[in-house]
Amino acid sequence: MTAFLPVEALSSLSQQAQAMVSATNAQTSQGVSPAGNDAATSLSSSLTNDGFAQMVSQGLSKVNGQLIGSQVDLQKLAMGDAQNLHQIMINLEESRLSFQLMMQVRSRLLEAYQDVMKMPV
Amino acid sequence: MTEGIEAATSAALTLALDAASLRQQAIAANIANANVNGYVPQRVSFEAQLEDARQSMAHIGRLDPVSLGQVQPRLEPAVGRFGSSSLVQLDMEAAEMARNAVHYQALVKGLSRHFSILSMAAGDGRK
Amino acid sequence: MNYADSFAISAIGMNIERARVDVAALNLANANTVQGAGGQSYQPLRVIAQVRDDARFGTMVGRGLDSAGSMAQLTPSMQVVATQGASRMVYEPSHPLANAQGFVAYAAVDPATEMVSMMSATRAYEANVSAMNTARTLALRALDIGSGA
Repeated sequence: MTAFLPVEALSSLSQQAQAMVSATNAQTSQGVSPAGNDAATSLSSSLTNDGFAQMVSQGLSKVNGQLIGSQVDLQKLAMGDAQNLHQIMINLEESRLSFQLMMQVRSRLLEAYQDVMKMPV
Repeated sequence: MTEGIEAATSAALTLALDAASLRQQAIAANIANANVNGYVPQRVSFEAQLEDARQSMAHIGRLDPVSLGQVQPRLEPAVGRFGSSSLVQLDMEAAEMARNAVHYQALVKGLSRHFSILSMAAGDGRK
Repeated sequence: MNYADSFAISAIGMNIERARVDVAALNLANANTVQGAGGQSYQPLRVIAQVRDDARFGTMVGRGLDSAGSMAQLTPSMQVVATQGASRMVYEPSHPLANAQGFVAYAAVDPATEMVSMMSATRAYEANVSAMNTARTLALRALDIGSGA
């Protein structure tokens, strides 16, 4: 088991989310009637596509940054350079909680995706 | 767990725990021998060996596990201010023991939180 | 601030108070020594603990809690010096070391002063120990952040 597990989990989640969004986007663009509002729907769908993917990857990089910050704090504690014990503990707990939250969001998203996929067309 | 930032953190914390437990033994020996003639107080050298690691951390922003390769906590006799050997001072030893105990517990807490985050990732969010 | 700094501060305080007790004990032991024929008598010692030069609490707080190592500036520096007082003259004409007027020169140690300084040093020492214990308790409580779940 490599030690990159959290980081790889984050990047694979980002790729899964982007695949989901582009799949639904393809379905909606196929279902839209060609007459009239092609430009509008494609514009709005491209906006939501970029918006959602952007949001997800921004959230992931924030959690990743928090986790790396906590790791560096722990390394400084080990080397004896600890400045603020309570600040280190608070940052550690915050990064753990945001990681937990991200895992829950990932589980819910996957559940929702599987629910949608199970629907008979 | 042989690569990545998590391995560097575990290695650094483990080494620091070794140093802290060795320091506790040295302090206990100093206190037990406080009134013995000719006893030289023992200290543990660990943080002083970390200069390379500190410089590499200042460069790349995180600890490089290679810089910990040569670091080894070891006992050494205490040297007084002008190079002469010093005597055991009981209250300084007591203060150092309190500081070392807090440091040890902080390291243990940090290590256990670190492993709990990794186990959360490995367990896929489920217990 | 660094928890190691708080232990170092209390340790230096304890050191100074213990030196005060030691000096008081030394003065008491030499309380009844007599000025010998050579003219040298025992001069009582005093512990002088002074604030360091640039230790102004206001400026340090202004720089913020991140100024590393600046807490160490607040600890006092210690010196043990001999006082220069005149000896205590006691009229004992039959004493072998009495001078021409029949006075014997004893060391100028006042036992009451030494006992009082020993008691106040003991109380200050206990206060330093309690400060160190409190600092340790605070640091251990800080480690409990987040383990309530």
